[in-house]
Amino acid sequence: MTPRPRSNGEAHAQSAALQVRNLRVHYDTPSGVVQAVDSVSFSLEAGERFGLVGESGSGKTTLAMALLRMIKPPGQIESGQVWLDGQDVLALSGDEMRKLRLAGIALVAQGSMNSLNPVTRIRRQLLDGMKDHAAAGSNGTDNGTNAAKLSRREQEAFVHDLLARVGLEPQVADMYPHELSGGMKQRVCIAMAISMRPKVIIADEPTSALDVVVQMQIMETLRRVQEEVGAAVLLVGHDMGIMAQFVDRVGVMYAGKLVEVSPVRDIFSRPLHPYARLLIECLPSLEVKDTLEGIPGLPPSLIERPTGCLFHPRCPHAATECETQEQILDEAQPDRWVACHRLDLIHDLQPETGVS
Amino acid sequence: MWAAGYLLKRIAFFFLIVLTAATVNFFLPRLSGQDPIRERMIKQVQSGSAWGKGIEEMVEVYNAKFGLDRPLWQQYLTYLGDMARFDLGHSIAFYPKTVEEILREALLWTIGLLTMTTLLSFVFGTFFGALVAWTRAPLWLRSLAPPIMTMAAIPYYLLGLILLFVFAFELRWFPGHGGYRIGTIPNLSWRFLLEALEHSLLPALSILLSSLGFWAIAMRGMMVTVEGEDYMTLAEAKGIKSSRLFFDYGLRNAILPQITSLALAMGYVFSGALLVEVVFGFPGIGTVLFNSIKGVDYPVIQGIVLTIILTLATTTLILDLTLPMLDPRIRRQA
Repeated sequence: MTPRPRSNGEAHAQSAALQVRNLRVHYDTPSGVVQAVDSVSFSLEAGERFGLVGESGSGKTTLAMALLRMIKPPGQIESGQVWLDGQDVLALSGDEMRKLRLAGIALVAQGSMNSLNPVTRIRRQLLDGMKDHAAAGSNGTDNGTNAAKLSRREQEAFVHDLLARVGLEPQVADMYPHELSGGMKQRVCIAMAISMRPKVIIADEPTSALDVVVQMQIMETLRRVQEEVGAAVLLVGHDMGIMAQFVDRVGVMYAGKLVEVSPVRDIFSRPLHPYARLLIECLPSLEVKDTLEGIPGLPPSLIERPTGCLFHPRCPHAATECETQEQILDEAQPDRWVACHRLDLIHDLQPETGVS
Repeated sequence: MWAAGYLLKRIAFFFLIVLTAATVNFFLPRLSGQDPIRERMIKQVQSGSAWGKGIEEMVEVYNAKFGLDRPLWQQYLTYLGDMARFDLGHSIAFYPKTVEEILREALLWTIGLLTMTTLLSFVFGTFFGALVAWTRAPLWLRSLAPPIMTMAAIPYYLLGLILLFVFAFELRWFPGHGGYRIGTIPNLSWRFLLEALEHSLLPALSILLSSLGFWAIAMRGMMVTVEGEDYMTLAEAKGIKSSRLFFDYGLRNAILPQITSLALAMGYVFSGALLVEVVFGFPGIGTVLFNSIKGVDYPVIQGIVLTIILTLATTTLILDLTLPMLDPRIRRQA
């Protein structure tokens, strides 16, 4: 149903829901400049589900916030381009950007437990964002419902419809956040995110505070409503299990850089980048009983970063060229983009006969 | 339903507080071991306005009149009965003036001064504190923070002395003493009100300036905490207008502890700003309390303290009843 992505997106600026090119974000800290996001490029087709994985501190959340242009000082978007549905996001004025949020690009946040205003009812929180988009329309909100112009009854019907879409009773509208369970709160957040039918939903570890059963329900709900409104989803997280079940493609981040972007099946069956491989190998297996192993070493300091390939100090295949030369994402196989100097040597890629 | 049980509990609590405090109020001044009537008589003898002879008899008569000759527990019961009827008795120092009369005169001054200053400093201080913490606020406004914070560090009576020196002594813009001019008889006329206002300005300013910072500091701290909350991030991601973000999400959450402080501060309105009133010779409750402690005037002290207790307990009760409306989370614990 969702169109199969065919490239890393360079040529698909027109059709892509979200296009990110060479995005760089850094934090100016007293101890030095932290390059949190380093020349990241990728794109989301309309309706596509894209997963962004990486260790803590790899820049996933910073990247997500940068797409919403919500990087707070000392953080700063340094350079790069973000196109949302053909619109240059980084060129918008502050107020235009505000109106693009929710209407064009919505967030389902990390801390679902505290993401709702504790002192106002759910109804109000479902409607207030839209009310502040009243005079929108010029920036991709043509299909968004304009709550300010709705009558009271229409608002009520609208709220009930939103709640029903995420599997909540209409009574929830009259409740306060503390009266809801964690899963219900996250459902409310999802309802909010789709309320103006955005082109892209950023889900930043949407299930991190929930138990596994609720996690699956929430992901199912997110998938269902995302398909209903036709939004692309950027799922940020480090739970490979959830990624495997939810997304179409995965981008692996390491120290602020994307090191591999591949269809989800391929990356699980045959990860190409050494880091991606080690990451996948870390997953516990049901069949083989073995001690759980991590990746030796620690992620590099983002202030004093290694030269060349950022992963070379931990990489089992590192050679001298890895220490000196940076490698950019390159299409190693159709649909598979990898940043590694030694790819051919590691995998012997040439006579590839299709990856299952 | 939470309301009924909660209400009863709060009201019962109210009476318990009043009874406990009234009991302490009764015993505390008597623990000082002073004999107010004998001391007053001796003073009068020393100043030559009474004869030394027959003093013992007079002390006895007066003690009987004020009920001070009876055993303590009897006095206590009588006291409780009187308090229940709001009968505060007579002042010892200004006999035959009743405590009620004294209080009524002084309270008007104090309430006028302190209600205004408390409310004004709460409103401005809270709002200012919120803006100072708000990263989107204009820089000039946020740069006002240090001076106002500094002002909060100066005790208000000291600030009062400085104002007194500058504006009353050196510049002579404002009167430096009392609530009205000597010779004026208090009455309800525009002329008198203006005169009272003129006299209240300096004491009001000293309280206002120093308490403004107090409210601002507390609010700034809360606002900074609230700004870091997840719901602020999500609200911003919802594309909400800056003003709604400030009022509906920021201020609305950060103000909750401020409301508690306001209620408590309103309770203290009746106790007067003792030092400021003394510094400015302002005819309010603070000055009266100061004088009656000096003169060991039990009934007046008791009357004032009882008033303070009642108002504090009442504001706490009002607070308990209104906070659940502002913060839905309190309702559950009720």
